[in-house]
Amino acid sequence: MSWLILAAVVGGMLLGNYVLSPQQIAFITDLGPWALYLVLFTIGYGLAQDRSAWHRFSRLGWRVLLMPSATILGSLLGVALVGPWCGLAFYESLSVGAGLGWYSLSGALLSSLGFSTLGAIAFLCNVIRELLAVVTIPWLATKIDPFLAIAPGGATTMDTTLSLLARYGTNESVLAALINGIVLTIAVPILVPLFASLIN
Amino acid sequence: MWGVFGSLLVGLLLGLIPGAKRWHTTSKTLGTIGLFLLLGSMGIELGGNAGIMESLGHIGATATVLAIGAIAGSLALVWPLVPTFRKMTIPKEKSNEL
Repeated sequence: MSWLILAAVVGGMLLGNYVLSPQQIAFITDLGPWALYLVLFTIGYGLAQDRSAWHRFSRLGWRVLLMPSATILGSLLGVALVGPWCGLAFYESLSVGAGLGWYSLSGALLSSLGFSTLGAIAFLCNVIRELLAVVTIPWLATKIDPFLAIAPGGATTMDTTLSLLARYGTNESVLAALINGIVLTIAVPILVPLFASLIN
Repeated sequence: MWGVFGSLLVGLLLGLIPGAKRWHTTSKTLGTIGLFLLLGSMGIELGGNAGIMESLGHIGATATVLAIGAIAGSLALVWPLVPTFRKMTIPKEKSNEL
């Protein structure tokens, strides 16, 4: 199944780059959100039928916020550590990492703030993060733990990668992923400009 | 954003209707079809974006290293939380088996 997932993404990239016309790509791109809504609809449908999952999940209480906090801090720590290898200053690395997988917004925010190269790096970094998440989620969820599989997806765990987490995880991990994605989605527009403002 | 919550909510509400379990298999099949359509369209969108494909060569390495750093960092900090989440959400009979 993991290979099929990888094949769908890579096959799509090859089709988009070499086969399809811009009009066909635009048409398919417009269909993308509808595919997402279909997946989310089926996730909601499945969650409604497992009421005990809601009960068990509610036992976490405030601890549910630990997951998004750890994902944000871990992402920032990770980029801060590898940033110097890439020739980036501390706050430059943090402003890229603060995209948390939301490539369209992080890239656009940095570009609009006058950091066009950094915006391009943020865009591509977060695209790659999403692709890596797509590849690693099935393995992490089945071989290690469904809750751990939430970490790579970042802000996309409330939409794109939620579908994968629902397929390979448990209903409890889907609920945790949803909350993780919502908190991270709120954090991105705050953190990216904040770190960008600290760049000298 | 509203489409995301709206579709989840509609699914939740329809799933609560008595007798909805009958459609569980159909729902799962639709979910799988939707998943592959979603991933395929994501790939097509990326492959069709000349800017992304061209910049892969120039800034691709930097972006890849940063993406790996971000994922590794988040995994490192989430990992210690996993036992808490597992212990508190797994049904008692299952946690006894573990």
